[in-house]
Amino acid sequence: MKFVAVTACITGIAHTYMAQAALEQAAKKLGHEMVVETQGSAGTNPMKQEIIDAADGVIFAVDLGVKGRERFAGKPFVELGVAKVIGGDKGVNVLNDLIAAIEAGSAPLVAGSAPVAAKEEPKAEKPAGEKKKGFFGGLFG
Amino acid sequence: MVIVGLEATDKADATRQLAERLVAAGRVTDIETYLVAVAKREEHFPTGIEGGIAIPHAQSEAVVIPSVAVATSTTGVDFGAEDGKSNLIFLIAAPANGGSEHLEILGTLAYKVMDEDFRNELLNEKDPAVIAATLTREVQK
Repeated sequence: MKFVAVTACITGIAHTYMAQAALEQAAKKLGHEMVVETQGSAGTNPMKQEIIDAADGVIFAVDLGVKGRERFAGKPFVELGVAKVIGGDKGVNVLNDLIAAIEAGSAPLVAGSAPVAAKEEPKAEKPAGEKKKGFFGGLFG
Repeated sequence: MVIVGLEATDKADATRQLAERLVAAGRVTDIETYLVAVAKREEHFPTGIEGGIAIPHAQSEAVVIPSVAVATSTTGVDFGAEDGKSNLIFLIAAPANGGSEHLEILGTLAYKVMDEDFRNELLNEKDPAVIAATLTREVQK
């Protein structure tokens, strides 16, 4: 199955990205696809509407409101605190529970109506080289 | 900014020892201001995570440059993880108004920490310089 997720934490520095890793690992382990949008201090990497449209379910692992929540309207979803997917088998359990709820038809749906078409192309990610240029001896200098 | 074999009475002590390294490196100006911010974030929910990791962090005006200090500890420090003490501790410091690309590096680090092989590589290494080099290499990928 195909899943999308949004992760966001209060400071937007660490848990946002740890949750991203945890959800990607969970999907890999269970043999599903997972695309994660991180809404952190470093900014948001909005995923394409096509990816959302193709998803079977949505995970909001957030301590804050989801930016652009309407993009996910109509999708079965689960919403929980960012820490609830990090560590041990938490991510796997959350994904399994969502799958079970989708299959049972008991998963709630994201409210609102989805945008018909994405009018704005998401901002392209900067190439990794450019992104990190000039940073090191950064962290450990 | 790497401590191998950290001995600390509790997480406040561990955080302080790591923060002292950041101060010594000129990356944090006022240790008390920064530590209050870290403690406040820990109160929200502790940063210990299953698998022996802790990732205390804060954004603060006392931070000059986005930085990370790392400790390995054989005795471990209680950071509130469900499965016991943390043996690998990353203290992340972000400026109040951080440039997003630097914050992105911190996010990359948080993401990488979820990789068990990466964690073991760091835990088994006794040379602080090698630990710093390993982290730098991984977040640059």
